[in-house]
Amino acid sequence: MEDPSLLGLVNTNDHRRIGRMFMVSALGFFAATAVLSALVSLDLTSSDDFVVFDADSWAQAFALTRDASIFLVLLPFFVGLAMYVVPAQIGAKTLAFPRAALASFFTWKFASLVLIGAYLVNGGPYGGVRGDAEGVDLHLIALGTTVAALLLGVVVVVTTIFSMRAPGLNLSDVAPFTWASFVTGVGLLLTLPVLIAMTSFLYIDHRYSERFDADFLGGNVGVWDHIEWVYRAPTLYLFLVPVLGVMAEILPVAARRRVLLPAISAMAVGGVAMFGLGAWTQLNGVEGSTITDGWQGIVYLGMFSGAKLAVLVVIALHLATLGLNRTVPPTTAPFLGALGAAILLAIGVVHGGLGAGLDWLESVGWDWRDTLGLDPAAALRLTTWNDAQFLLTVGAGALGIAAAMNWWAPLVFGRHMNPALSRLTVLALLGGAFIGGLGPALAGLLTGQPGGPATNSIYDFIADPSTALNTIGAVGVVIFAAGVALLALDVIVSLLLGKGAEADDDPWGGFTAEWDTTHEDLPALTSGTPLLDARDAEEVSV
Amino acid sequence: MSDATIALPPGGRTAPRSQFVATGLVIVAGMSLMAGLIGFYMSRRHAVAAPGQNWVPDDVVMPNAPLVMTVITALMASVIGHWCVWAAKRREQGHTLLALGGTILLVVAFLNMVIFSMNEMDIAIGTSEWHNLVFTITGYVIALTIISIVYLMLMGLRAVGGDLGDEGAALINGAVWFWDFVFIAWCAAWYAIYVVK
Repeated sequence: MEDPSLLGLVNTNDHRRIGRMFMVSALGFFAATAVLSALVSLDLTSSDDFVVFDADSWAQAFALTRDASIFLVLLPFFVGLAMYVVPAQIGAKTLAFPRAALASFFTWKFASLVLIGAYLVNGGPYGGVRGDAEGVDLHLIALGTTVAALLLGVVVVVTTIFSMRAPGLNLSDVAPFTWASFVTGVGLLLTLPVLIAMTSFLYIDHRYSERFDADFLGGNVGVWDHIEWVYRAPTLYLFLVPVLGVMAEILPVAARRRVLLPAISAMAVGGVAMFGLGAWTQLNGVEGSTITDGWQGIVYLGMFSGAKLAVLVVIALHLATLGLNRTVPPTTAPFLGALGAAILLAIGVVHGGLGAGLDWLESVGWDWRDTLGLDPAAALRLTTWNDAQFLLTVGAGALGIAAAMNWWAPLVFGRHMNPALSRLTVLALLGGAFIGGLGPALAGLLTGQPGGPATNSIYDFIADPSTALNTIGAVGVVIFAAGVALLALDVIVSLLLGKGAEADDDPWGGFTAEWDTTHEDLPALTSGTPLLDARDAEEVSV
Repeated sequence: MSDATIALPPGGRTAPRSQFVATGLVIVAGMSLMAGLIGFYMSRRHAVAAPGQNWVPDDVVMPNAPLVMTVITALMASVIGHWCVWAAKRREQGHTLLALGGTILLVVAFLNMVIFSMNEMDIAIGTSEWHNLVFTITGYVIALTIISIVYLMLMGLRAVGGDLGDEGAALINGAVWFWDFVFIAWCAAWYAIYVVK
């Protein structure tokens, strides 16, 4: 029985409670981030000036949406979900270090609030003015601490998977979400410390060099230049690997078939994490360099293409599994969410590949803009084309969150989410992310509108910004935000207030170990693969 | 009393200790951190100074002898640390504690020498990009060294309590491996900053 008091909260070592705290907090941040994203997009719909923010605060708000999407929403949600589900999937009674998991949660929560506070006191990239820029320094400390706290949680999860599996359960046989958590964790441990290193350099440089009237790393503008690689491919795909794990749990069960070529699928999931170690390709993201420059260019292109190819392999195998089904799967919200995530991720991959391809053609001498009769403009990766890539990919992450919440709500909260509301949520997230990406993609392609916080200069330097296309993008982001609001409403009403239908054991028929909620008599774990331990597996193809 | 040994069936393979695995993962993250720090230092040097050119500010005089001694001291601490693990495996408490004490002493000496070298160079943060980068990298090494000392001391307390044998040695081994990582990280930093410059 959980101790509901404050002391019980700060002193718990129950992995389920810690996981729930992570997930619910991340969903709270998700709602706030979606509203902010909508404001940021709406700000570009005027033809002559910003609507809500001014030039500097727009750039700061833009940067906050990036920070928050990854470090306040996507990563903590999936770390929390892993803390809840993974021990049950591998036959462990708890996490390896539950106190460290709790420390991870509270440190992350505190640092996240400080991160938001830093922006509120005019901090973050593009924030502050010379001599009064504590907010910029605070942002760097908070970002580094947020990342370190999440890494502590990652160490706990990966250690649990590595050393606490039930006897006989090999790493190659664990459930897809556990496998995805494992490879994501290892990838994050190899990538995110580089971000901590960068924020440390930036902090020292920004805080102390200012006294000597010199910012060697570019001051408050340089902050963004040195951290934005985290929000670009291939690193971006590393954060999406847990979504592939969620997809791999849900789609085969919906199809009542084991996934086609399961070993290839698992290797491809690992491949996304391996190629997503984008920290080491960051130098190619800077303006001025071409994407094929020397060895760095080859490494970058290899990792960029490898991550995309691996994502497509995972998606293709799961869609093929669905295609082999004899009947149409029931259109449950988890199924629709997972399918939507797969579709949106595939669109994002193709979108990114197309952009990289066009940039490469330009770098080898073919002016495709001239051929198409378009005005000369910067490389696509420096335009809003790249912003569209972020929206599409994070949109897939949002759908993954919605699918995971619907799938595991019966386990985590003992209740189902509202089926109609959940379907509407999935529809809004899918449609919103697609339309939200379409506007900036076309603006980048057709007009070369600069992307990222550089857009803060749009009304100074561009006589005729792509108002119509920006409006399309803004409408999409507003629809997306509405989807997030519906998700939050559903969680509050159905799960936290207990209005959702009570759940049976293993309501989806997935036959993986986490559904044995008693933990006292775990099934014989010959495998974590969904359906492998099915007792009524008449429909299951072997 | 008979000297005959009792034949027991071989035990099953045990799962690796969580603490040892977690230490390994922290080391992986730490290596990534240090590689990021040193990699960025080298990329900035490449961007600012021409190949072969020294980009260290003219007023910086490096105390080469103490810096070399830091590497040797760190190596000695590492070797004695492994002696400690060897002794703990054999349940030789005296040797274990002696070796652990020696390791901690040498790590503290290493820390002292690094700070001494920094003071000798009179590193003033903010005055140049080189100063900033070196301060940050060395600061991380100092922080990792302090963590290592605390880790070794905690394992020392367990050894005093008699936690020896295979399991106790595995725990001490984690702390020693962590120090090995700090040693390697310092070697890389020393080579990049003070040898190649």
